[in-house]
Amino acid sequence: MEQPVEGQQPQMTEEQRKELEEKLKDMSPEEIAELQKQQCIFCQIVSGKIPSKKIYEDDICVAVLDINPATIGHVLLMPKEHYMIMPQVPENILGHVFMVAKHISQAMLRKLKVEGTSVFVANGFVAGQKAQHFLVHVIPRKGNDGLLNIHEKLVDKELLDKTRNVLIDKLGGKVKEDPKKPKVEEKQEEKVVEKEEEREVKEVEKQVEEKEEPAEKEKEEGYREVLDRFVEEKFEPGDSKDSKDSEEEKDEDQDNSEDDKDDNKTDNEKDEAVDLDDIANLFK
Amino acid sequence: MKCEYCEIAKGKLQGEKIYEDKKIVAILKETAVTHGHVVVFPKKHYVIMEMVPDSLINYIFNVANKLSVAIFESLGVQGTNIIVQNGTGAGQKTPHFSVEIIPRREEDGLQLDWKPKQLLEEEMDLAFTTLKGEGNKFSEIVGKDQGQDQEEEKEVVIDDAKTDTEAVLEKKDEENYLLKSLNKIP
Repeated sequence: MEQPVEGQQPQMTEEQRKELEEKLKDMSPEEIAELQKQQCIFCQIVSGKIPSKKIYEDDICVAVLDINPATIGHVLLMPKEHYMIMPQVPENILGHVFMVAKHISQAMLRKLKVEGTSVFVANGFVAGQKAQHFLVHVIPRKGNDGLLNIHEKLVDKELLDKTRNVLIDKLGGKVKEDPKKPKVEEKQEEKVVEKEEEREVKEVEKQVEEKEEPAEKEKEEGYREVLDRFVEEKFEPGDSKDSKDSEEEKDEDQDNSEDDKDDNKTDNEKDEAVDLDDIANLFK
Repeated sequence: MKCEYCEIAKGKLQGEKIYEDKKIVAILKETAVTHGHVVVFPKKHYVIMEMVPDSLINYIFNVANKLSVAIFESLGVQGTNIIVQNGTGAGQKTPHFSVEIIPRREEDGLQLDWKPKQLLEEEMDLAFTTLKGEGNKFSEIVGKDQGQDQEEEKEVVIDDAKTDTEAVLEKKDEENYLLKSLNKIP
């Protein structure tokens, strides 16, 4: 599952590194995966070698209190198996982890008297992923905690259309699979939808569906690239990246900040607060 | 107040849909945190995550994962953040549960990191015992919490399954009941 990565241990002396590299060459992928597991702090937390405050554990995942919490009650949720990034995690495990995340979030809303929760996943070093183990953060939130401060800005229409087309192309057929549903049923549903109204999206998807197999291969390579990047960036931060995104610069030109929007937001929030209170009452 | 996402799901409001199936819709955001920002949400109106049935949570995050991979590959980004903002305190802006997928590039200037908070041991212990207690409770129901809506759906199915004769019988019973109750009136 894991790729052999050379130069992975920057804190080692030259000799140790060389030794390790040689070892890595001789090892099978399984052995390398095993080695990575041994070195992963979170795998050691899972196995209990490193003490932690486990608030939840089942066959598939473990939830512990973060020792460097963003707020009181910040929980780290992880699959027991070692996966570096989210795309590696099998569907059933991923689904399970997020179902647990939901229940943890629910527990926080009920018991910690918070105003909300954030479920946060950082995928890749650039996104702020620090551990080499797929983690889901569930963070209790209060309005003024200043966390995850994201501002939205208007994207250029042309760029948006372009991106949309690229993504629709890319998604064709792939996202459709529902792990739990038998395929026959799915087809029937599709027909119904089509009868109701033929949507552009569906058509595009069908066209691309035929090319599904090559897409699968691409997918795997995509993962590898992401993985490699993650590792490279973790340990060789000096390297400059090939920047594919000239688009990105355009994006930044669109900085016309959207202060006007803030007024609307507060209105929304008021309305919503009522809803949330009702829900909170249900929980009691 | 009309819910923006519901309107989009119903097709009343023009959104930049990039994926749609029976349960969920994914749109490309016109006002984005970074370019390529995608939001996935269920067609059905749930305000916060807690209201969404487990099976749908399972499904929606798997789709989110695939979307995230698609974004990785086709937009040439170096990472993604997957965020659920649950409640106004967490900065939720639309009263409709959604999963945000934010593409990340180097030097996009986005700061999502937090400073570790130094907590007293008591605070940590309190949070621990509280959550641990809850954790023990829900360990048995993870994956089984189908929410109210699923039950409703099941009920509907049962109703449909009833044969016509059964329905007629039921009506008769109803009438009988009415008659009886009428008879009881002195």
